[in-house]
This record gives sequence, C-alpha cells and structure tokens, in this order.
Amino acid sequence: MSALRHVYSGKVRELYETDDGVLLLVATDRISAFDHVLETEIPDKGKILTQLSLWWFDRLADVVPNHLVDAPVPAEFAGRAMACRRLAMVPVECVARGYLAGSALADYRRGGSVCGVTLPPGLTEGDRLPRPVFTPATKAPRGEHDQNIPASVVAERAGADVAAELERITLAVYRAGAELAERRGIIVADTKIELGFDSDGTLRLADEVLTPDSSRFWPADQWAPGRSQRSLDKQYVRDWLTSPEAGWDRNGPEPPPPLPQPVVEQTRLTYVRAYASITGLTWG
Amino acid sequence: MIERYMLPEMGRVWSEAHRYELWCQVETLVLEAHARAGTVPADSVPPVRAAPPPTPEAVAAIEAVTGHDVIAFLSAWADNTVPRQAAAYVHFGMTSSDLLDTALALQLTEATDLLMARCAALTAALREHALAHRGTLRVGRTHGIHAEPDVWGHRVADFAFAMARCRDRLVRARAGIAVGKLSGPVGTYSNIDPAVESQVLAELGLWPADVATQVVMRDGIAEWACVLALIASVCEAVALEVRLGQQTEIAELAEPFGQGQKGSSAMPHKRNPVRSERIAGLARVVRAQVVPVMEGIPLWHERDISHSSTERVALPDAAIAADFLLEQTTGLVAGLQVDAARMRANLDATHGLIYTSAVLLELVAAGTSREEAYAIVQAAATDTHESGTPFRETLRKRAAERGQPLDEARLDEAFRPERYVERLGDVFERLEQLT
Repeated sequence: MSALRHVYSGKVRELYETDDGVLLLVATDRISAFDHVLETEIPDKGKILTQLSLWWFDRLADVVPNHLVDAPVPAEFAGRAMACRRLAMVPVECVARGYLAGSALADYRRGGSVCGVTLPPGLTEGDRLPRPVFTPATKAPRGEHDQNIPASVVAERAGADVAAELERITLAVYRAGAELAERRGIIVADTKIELGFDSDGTLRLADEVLTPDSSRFWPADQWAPGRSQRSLDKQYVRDWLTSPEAGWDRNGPEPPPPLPQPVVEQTRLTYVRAYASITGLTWG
Repeated sequence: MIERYMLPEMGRVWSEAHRYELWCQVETLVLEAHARAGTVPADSVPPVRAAPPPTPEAVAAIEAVTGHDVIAFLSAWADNTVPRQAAAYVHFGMTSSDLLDTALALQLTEATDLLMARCAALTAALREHALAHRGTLRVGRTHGIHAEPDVWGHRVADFAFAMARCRDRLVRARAGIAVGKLSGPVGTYSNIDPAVESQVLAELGLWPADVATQVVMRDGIAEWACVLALIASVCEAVALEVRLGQQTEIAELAEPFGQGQKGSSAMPHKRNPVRSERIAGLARVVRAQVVPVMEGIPLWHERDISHSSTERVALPDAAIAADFLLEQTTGLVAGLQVDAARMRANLDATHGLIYTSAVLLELVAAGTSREEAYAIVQAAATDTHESGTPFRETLRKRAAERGQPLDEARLDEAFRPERYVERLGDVFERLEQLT
C-alpha cells in the first residue's frame, strides 16, 4: 500500500490520494443537520452509504460509467472507502426532481417554475411532478447554499452539448433509481449527482449516488402531499434538534448539542433499513 | 403447486431449502442483536453463523418425531453447529411465530419483487402491441354484437393500463407484507427487548408490526392475495379476448403456434387457443386463494394455527400461478398474430349497420326530429337485417318513402370507419407516456 496524502475534508467525507494517483473517498460516520456537522456520530453510516453507492454504481453501469477503479482500500477504511480515478468535476450540481420539495418548492411558490421549467399551477408540497425535471444548481463554497440555475445557464457555462448530456444522465439516473426504489416502498423525491470528465473526455458518475444523504427518500406508504414528508434519513435527528428536549435554537450562535443514544440508534436503523429495503440485501 | 406451472426463480423462493436459509438468517441476526446487547454470550455468534442450514430431509426426520417444524429445524441446525452447545442461545426469547412470520414476510417480498418485474414486462408488451395497432380497424363489440368501428390497439391499451394499475397495486401491497414481528408468545415482548426487533427487522429491510399477538394480523397478506387475484383476472381478460378472436367464424387473432405444435390428436387442422385457455384456468386457481387467506384474519384470541396450513398451500400457489400467468400472457401478447384484413372484412359483416348511430345523428343535425330519424334508421336497419341489402341502400329507400332528403356527402363521412376513432389521439398519447 502506497502512502496516503490527505487532500480534502468534506462535511461527512474525507478525500485521500495515494502515490499511484488513486483517490480514496472515505465516508465517515459524521452526520450534518441544519448546516452543522454534529459532534455525535452515527455508527455504520459511512459503511452503509458507501455500500449503497457501490450497489447503485453496479446497477447503473448501463446508464453511465462511474469513477471506480480496481485498487486496494486500506484496512482502516474497509467497507467505507471507494478507490476512484481523478476526474475534472463539472462545476454544476446535477439535480433531478420527481416531487416538489426543498428549494424547488420555494422557487415554485415564488414564480411557478423551477430552474426555468414551468410547472403546472396548483401543486402543493410533496406533490409528484408530471415528469421528472432537471434542476441544476451552482456549487456553492462550503457554508453557503447552492443556487438553482436554469439549464440555459448551464449551457452557457459548460456548452450546449455538455449541458444536454448532464441533463440526460441526471434524469436517467433518477428514473432508474426512483423506479427501483418505488417498488421497494421508497419514493426518491429528488437526487443530486456529481459528474466529471476522465482523461479521455468521458463523463463519469462520481461521489455517492442515490443515498439518503444525496437524495430525499420518503416511505411510499406514508406519502401525503400538502405537508412536509417524513424522510428516511435524518428525520429523527432534525425532530430531536428542534424539540424542547434539545433546548437548542437553530437560528442562534450555539452549535447543536450531542445526540442522545436513542436518537443515534433510531437514525442508524433508518439508514440500515434504507440500505436493506433498496438492495434487498441483509445488512450485517 | 405442481411443477408443470412453476417457473424456477419463483419455485426457489418457496422451496423448503430456501425457507430454512431464511430461518437461519433471521435467527442469526436475532442472536447477534442479543449478543450486542449482552443478553447472550458473544462467542455463541461465530459458530452459529458458520453452521450451514439444515437440509429439508434432516428437518423432516426430526419433525416426524417432534410434530413441530420449528423445533425440528432448530435441532437439525444445532446438529450442524460446532460446538453444538453454541446453538443453545439460538431462538432466545422468541416464539416460533416470530421466526415464521418474519421469514414469511421475506418470502413474500421476494415473490413480490419477481411479480413486479413480470407485471412491468407484460405492461410493456401490451403497450407496444397497442401502439403498433393504433390504426388497425376492427369492429367494437358489445354483448358479442357488432357495435361501432374501433381499432384493435384501443382494446389492448385498456389491458395495458389495467396491468400498469396492477403493478402499482402490488407496490402498495408490498408495504403491507414487508412486516415482521419479534415480540414473543403473545406479542408483549415478555422475554425480548423491542430494540432487538427494530434492529433485526431493519437489517432485513422489513418494518416491525405496529402491534402483534403471537402472529402478525393477516390483513396485509390478504390484501396481497387480492392483488394477485386482480393480476390473474387481467391476464384472463387478455386471454379471453384472444379466445374470442380466434373462433373460426371471427378469425381475427391467433395465438403463436409453434413449429411442431399439435392442436388435436384427432383433427390435424386444429389450432386451438390452448395457452389462453390455460391462462383462464390458472386465473381461477389464483382467485380461489383469496377467501381462504382472508379467513386467516379472524383467529382465536392471540392466535390459533388454522391459518398456517392454509397459507402453506395458498400463498405459494397464488404466487407461483400468478408468476406463471404473467409469463404466459406476456408470451401470448408478444407472439400474437393479428389478421388486419380479416378485421377489416368483419367490420363490413353487418353491411353497414355499425354506422346507424352516426347516421341517426346526421339526420337529426339536418333538421329531422329525433323520433322521425330513429324510425327511418330502425326501419332501414331491419330491412338490412332481414335481406342483407347494404344499409346505405335500405336507408335511401326508407328516407325516400318518408320524403326525407339525404346529404350523400355527409353520409359518406358517416360511413367512413376511420372517423369513429379520430378522437383516440389522447388515449394513445397517454399510452405512450405509460412506463
């Protein structure tokens, strides 16, 4: 094993590079909520999200090539690291939405459209869109929010051909993922993917894909438009942080308090269930 | 289910060997959860995890003595565990139905996932066939009697949307059967921590029952059986249309007839719609499982075991037959022979009577009272019925008798079959969107 150089720390992931030029994307057990990285970790979260991504990469191989390379992963990162090739990342967050939620809901309420796509009138929070839409966003620096932009702006920045390809791949990934997950009782309301060019100029899927951290997963049997949906990821964390028990002001200057054990365990189980439900595989 | 109607993948889901694999999986996860919580020794886990599932023969030999399948399974599995005493903590705090119902939920979800893929394949085949025949004129029949011109693709579109709805129902029904329980003899968690249940069921991709007795209430399974019966019935609707269309006098449709296939032992000319008739027959088998399964909802107090024997037969039979039906129907649709010329010829079999409704409206639009127009058209139709003279001629005669002028150019339009299906564009557009 060649030496590792630490390249970058994300909110919940670390990036290393080996002497051979292979990147190691390591998912930690850190969890973020309300733009804070919490001091309490969720056991197995890094492994679950990595294994789920790997499962999807395999499933999506016919849709889009990915960044994985066949290289050893150090034992200390076993199960939660991906060996990847270096890509020239496209400076756009590629988002596909099948349901109205989050920033798309806010945009829709302001002007009836999202990223230049006009939506039918009368939609409410959590509604299914007539068809999935591509809603790209700028990549904001850490600590700031991504801004939704029309596809025409992507075309100006990246070229029309590339923009069309980003849209095609993003919607294809969303469709494939949403269709499979829906059969397993999970609605993929939206998802964000990362794409980059390899040295041959081929667009490849990178990072994580169709995980609870990159997507909104809703239990299908509890879906009810007109209110905010229960989500299969950090719901317990968000609910507790905003409860009187936490005694925390999310608009104040203080960081969030540590999570109590039951919240940690319920959150871990939510990730475990998402993995097992989608893949049909047993966790553990 | 007899092997004749069993496809390999679905057969495997319901095999004894697979059932014991799932039982081992559930028991191992429970043991691990106990070990993490410190209720059982951690060193009991590796030997149990390494022990291969017992063979159905080994379980059967012990069950012949114990008369209890789960105890027989646990003994046979313990025989495979080295050292055998490590198996002492298997099944700790559980009742047999904790294992049975949880493993059954896994079998049902596996079966459902196979059925969903088959529903999707049949929907796609129906959609493709319907779009290919959006312009193939054929007569629409009600009560078996010619009604108005239609297109064959329109009839098939109806089946395509019905199967798509079945697939959606199956998605919803899956949520109702992906439910297990690990809450002990009467569901009170008397000897098992609810945390073990939530951990293990999450690891299996199942939800804990909100409440349970010794068993999970059978309403979810009964709903699932109902959906399978609907699937079977839609398959039969497709098959029925083919059987009717293949009758000698109609001869518009024909099942795929393979090289070397024989229709009758006595009559070499025969090409019988046997696949469609097989579909009709097996649809009855699937529907027949609904009521027995539903009768597993009322049980004595915290449970009796009357539902168990029923479900051992009914659930695999329903799933295996539905699976086979979907595969057979998909093959039927993919290879269906459509005689468009015969359809067009049959359209004229009533010598134009199928245009009476449009002619009636034409006469009314031209200023004739509805009563008068109806009398003319009905009299002309009766003449055609009795004499076989084309309706257009009998209409001219009857109209002339009553001094009613006819606008021949507008009648040309009323007698043009394509006119009747011109407003189907939206239906086919919706069909194109169907995924």
